[in-house]
Amino acid sequence: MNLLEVRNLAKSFTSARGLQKSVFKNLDLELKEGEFLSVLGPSGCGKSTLLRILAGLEEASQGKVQWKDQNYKASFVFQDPRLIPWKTVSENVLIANDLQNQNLQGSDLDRALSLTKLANAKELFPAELSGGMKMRASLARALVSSPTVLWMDEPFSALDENTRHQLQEDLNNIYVTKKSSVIFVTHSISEAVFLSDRIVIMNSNGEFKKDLKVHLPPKRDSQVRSSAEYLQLVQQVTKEFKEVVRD
Amino acid sequence: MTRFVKIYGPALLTLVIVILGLELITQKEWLPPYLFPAPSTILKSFIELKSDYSSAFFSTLTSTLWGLVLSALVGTFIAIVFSLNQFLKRALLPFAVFFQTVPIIAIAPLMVIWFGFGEPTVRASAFIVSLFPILANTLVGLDSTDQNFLELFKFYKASKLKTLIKLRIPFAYSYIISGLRIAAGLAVVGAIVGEFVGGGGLGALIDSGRTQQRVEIVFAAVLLSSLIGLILIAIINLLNRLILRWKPFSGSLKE
Repeated sequence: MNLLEVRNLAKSFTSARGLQKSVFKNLDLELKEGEFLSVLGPSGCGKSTLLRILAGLEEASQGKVQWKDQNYKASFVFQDPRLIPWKTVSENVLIANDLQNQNLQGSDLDRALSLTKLANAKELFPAELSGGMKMRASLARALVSSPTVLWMDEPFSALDENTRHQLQEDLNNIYVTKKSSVIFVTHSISEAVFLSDRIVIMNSNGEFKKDLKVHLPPKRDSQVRSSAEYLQLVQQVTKEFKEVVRD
Repeated sequence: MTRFVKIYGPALLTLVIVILGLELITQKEWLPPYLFPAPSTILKSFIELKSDYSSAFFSTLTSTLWGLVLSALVGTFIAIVFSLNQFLKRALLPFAVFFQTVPIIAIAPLMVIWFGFGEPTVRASAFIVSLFPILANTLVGLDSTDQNFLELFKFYKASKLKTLIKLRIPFAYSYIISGLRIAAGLAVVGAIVGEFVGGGGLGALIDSGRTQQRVEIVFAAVLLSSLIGLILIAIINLLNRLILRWKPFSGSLKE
């Protein structure tokens, strides 16, 4: 069963010089329940715009987004951690209580913080956290409401490689336990392969060119990262990615 | 202690040298005493007219505080209203800018006509000159909220009011504080000008020192009026430090 179906989606905008510019058109996409889907594409191809439209942060010019169940819960993990500087980690994670009068409990907070390994950072302010911890806090804020779907917009791109790997493994671990659906936008091929069940590749014109299944065990860790299957998949996707970008 | 000497020592040394130099110049009568009093004469005047100075000082201080606190409240309030309502902002802000360019000394006599002699005129004058910097700074602060955070609030479907209270005002915090610092200095100017025309306080003391050709009274009152500005800025800095210790609002809100 598809959780989400996107039909005939188009987005265009008028540039500062008054020219009509199309980001993408006639876009179709499905997201299955519990699926981890990566949208892979070169910079500026429109993948982030697509995600922002799905998340309701931007309006589509045309087309529709259909949900199986209108009462879905969604969370967004931005490219930057976007933590409010004068709020502690706990206050940031529970921001939905503040802004939407949600009723998240202390137990929800503790669960989200332990999933993201931040149990000891509860009372710290963002300025007191490392880059990786800030992103974990941002992830905890997204997870605390047990969302049906997670929108993730290149969340690890600003982190150093070691931290990035660690967070990818943690995200996979969370995904395996919680089974939210995820749409993950990235330009990193290895990241997309490591995390996803399925990868769609977008070219520079905003068209989906490939739809690939990733056959790796659900639980991904450093062993998977060094396995022959994984490395071979990365190679294969790299090849396909180059074909798409060249077209 | 050594740190105190290191930070404040040089300025204190400058002060001592200047005072001793002035004392020397005036004792030797290189400058005529009716133009420039010796520091010791000023000190003597402080002692002789202690009660006059102190009542004038507290009167001006009170009026300045009145004006400053009122303009902080009114200025912040107007800025919030303007930032919520673009129509009102466009309708009224140009006139606020125009009003700001009218020199306070030019309208001070008018205020005496309107408010009468004494405190009301002085307070109104302090209020008027300190209002604009607070209004302008707060307005800039409220309009400079980081787009990324606005987007976050949009994603959580936060109402306009919540976005204002939970995001835009805290973001404007450092702008509000620097507006207050500017306004504190101006409020003293406003109060003194108000006292020139409306009477009372250090302004009247300066004026009567001038008419009696007692330049040491003028100097003493000038020193006291700058002391008021320093005290106000010290209070603002202290408050700022306490608030930031409680919650890290601050200029550098980038993570």
